[in-house]
Amino acid sequence: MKNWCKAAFASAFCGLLLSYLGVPAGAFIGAIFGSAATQISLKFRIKVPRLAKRLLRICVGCLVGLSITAEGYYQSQGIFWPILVTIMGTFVTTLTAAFVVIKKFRMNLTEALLGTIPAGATEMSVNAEEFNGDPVVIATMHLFRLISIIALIPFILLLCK
Amino acid sequence: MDMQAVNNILIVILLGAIGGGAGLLTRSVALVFIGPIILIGAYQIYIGSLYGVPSWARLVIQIAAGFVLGANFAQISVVTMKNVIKPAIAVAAIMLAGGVAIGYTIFSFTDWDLKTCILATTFGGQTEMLLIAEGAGAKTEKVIILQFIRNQAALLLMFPLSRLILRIEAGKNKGGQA
Repeated sequence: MKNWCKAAFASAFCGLLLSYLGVPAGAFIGAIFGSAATQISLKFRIKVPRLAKRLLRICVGCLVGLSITAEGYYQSQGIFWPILVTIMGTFVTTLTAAFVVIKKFRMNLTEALLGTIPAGATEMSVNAEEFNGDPVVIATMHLFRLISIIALIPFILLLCK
Repeated sequence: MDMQAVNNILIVILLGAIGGGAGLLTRSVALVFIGPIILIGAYQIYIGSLYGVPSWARLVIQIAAGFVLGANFAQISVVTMKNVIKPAIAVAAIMLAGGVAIGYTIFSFTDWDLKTCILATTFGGQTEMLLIAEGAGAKTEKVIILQFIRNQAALLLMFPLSRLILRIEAGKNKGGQA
């Protein structure tokens, strides 16, 4: 319980701090780092109950739903070309990443392919063993990608202003 | 707080409970998240704006989501991390650059703002990018559509393709050993 309080306090503090500093989505980003940094530095792991995670997903869904507006919806009609560019771009980027880790870092094909396809760490990891891949390596690659992108994207957004 | 705002909050809770409850009953993790988005989004588009949710509620949800995601990130094994740090950095850098490049390409031929384009195409997780888009004031409708398409393209096209490649490779190895 004590550890929970420490991690929750660190999350709230970092979240409020980044939010106050005007970092885009600062509350969310700060809370991630507060929580992860406390657990890694104090060497404990919090296991959040599955039901709590699902209830939180409902709350996040409500929050995202509230940001949908009629005006934005009607502006989103006819987005064939952005969709096509996104699909093509996903293919090119993923295959490039897989090719680089195979050629440059001599990673095996299974881990390179399943570690780079951006379709969820869990979905990719559970298929690793079927092709003699290490699910831990694949999950780590995905988590590292998520951490890096979530950490850097607010700064990229600041540059967009 | 006026009566209309209280009414709106109750509607949000009700729609969230119905959408999320459908996901819980069907044990569909995706529907738990998508259900409330569809119901509340549809309400706002076809019936009216559900204003009135206090700003502190948004802050609390964002911090709670960050707390849970941070707990997931803390599960990374330091030993595994040391072994795969270089390829992991390379993949993260390529995916980040790729996502931003795709976003910029879309920005160059549409009238969308750059923030929305980048958040819609970056490979940072559907839920996470949506939450950041909501907090950063991007056009969430577009981010939802493109992130969903990107995720499905990876899951329904790229994943079967890589399974096929891996099966062919495994067949070749077996043939070579025989």
